[in-house]
Amino acid sequence: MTPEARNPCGNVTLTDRPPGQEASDAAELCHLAARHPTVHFILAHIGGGGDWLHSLAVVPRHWNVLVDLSGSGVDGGMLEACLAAVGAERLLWGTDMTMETGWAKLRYLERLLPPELLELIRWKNAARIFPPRSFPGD
Amino acid sequence: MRLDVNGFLGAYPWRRVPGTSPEALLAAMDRTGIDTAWVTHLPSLFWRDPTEGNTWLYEAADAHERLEPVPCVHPALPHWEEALSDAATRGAPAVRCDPHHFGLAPAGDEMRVLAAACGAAKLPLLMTVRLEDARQRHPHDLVPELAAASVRALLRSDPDVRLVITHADRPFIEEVHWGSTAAEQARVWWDIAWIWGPPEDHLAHLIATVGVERFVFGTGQPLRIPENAVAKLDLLDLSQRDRAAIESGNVTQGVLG
Repeated sequence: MTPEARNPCGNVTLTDRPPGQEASDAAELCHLAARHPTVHFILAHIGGGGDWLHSLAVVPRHWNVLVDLSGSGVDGGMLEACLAAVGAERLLWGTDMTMETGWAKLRYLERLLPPELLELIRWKNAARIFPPRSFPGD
Repeated sequence: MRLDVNGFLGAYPWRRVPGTSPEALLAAMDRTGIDTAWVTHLPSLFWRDPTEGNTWLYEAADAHERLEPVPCVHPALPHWEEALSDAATRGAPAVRCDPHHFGLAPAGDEMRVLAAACGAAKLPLLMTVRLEDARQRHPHDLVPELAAASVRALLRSDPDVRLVITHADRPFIEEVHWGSTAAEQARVWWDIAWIWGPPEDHLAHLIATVGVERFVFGTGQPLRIPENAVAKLDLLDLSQRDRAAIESGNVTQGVLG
């Protein structure tokens, strides 16, 4: 697969997008993240109905990209794949439009991870990357 | 008592899914407080003869009393009546036919004959609207989603058929329910696996409008993590009586009643 190619104007275009994959594609995001290594980027809505296997294949070597777990998708194997791709250190918890899916993912992660790693996903990773005073406890 | 009407055993052809063995499913059930699960042999849905997985399914269910088999019946194959008879003899709570997976017209002649035979045998017929979100499916997974009109047509085709429909969302359920007569509405049950909870509150809305008696607990595990269906109920402001109805009562007193 050829994920992306530059056009003569220097813009990034995706040339081979899987069916169902929507506009904010991981390959595009990671290309942007590589150009700005001091900025944290969030690949949001990994459970948002797109091709999460396709997305997760791109993110591992982009250390400034974090993955948020929000979205209505609660596919078996998705959370294991997220952990395998980026580890607990680069996962953020979120819900999107369905609170039960966010809660279910936390419940599922409780059995996969020791408490100290679960805390990273629950809040510590977010506290690390967002500016001071972003959260009430800051 | 929590009874999951929407479980699977066996591998999924389109991606790796963990926890597909009977032992893994039982562990997931322990983790989420599910006492009993209706299970189908997942690979069978993709086989030319889906009934070839039924023997394995019966053996797995015999070996694990918390698993109840929902075998496949393919009404265009010559031995389909035998598969239906086996299901009744073996005490299966329901049979399964996913017409699009089997290459059948969902409200065509074969499905109508099967619906009538299920009605006569007093076996509920279970069908799924979808197995995965359409936006993430394998490029070769081109099976259409079940249409609400097909469910209405099957309900209307035989006065005794009872349907359990899994993975339906709010628009689908409303289209069938409000397009059916009261007698037809009373012969279909919906699992909660694909209905959104808060803040959209689709499930709460449907319980208030369609009626709590129409909904049954279903997870779609292991294709979906079973924690989701439990969390959905935990977030509802439900009486103990209504929750018990969804978790098992509507199956034992409605679907199987």
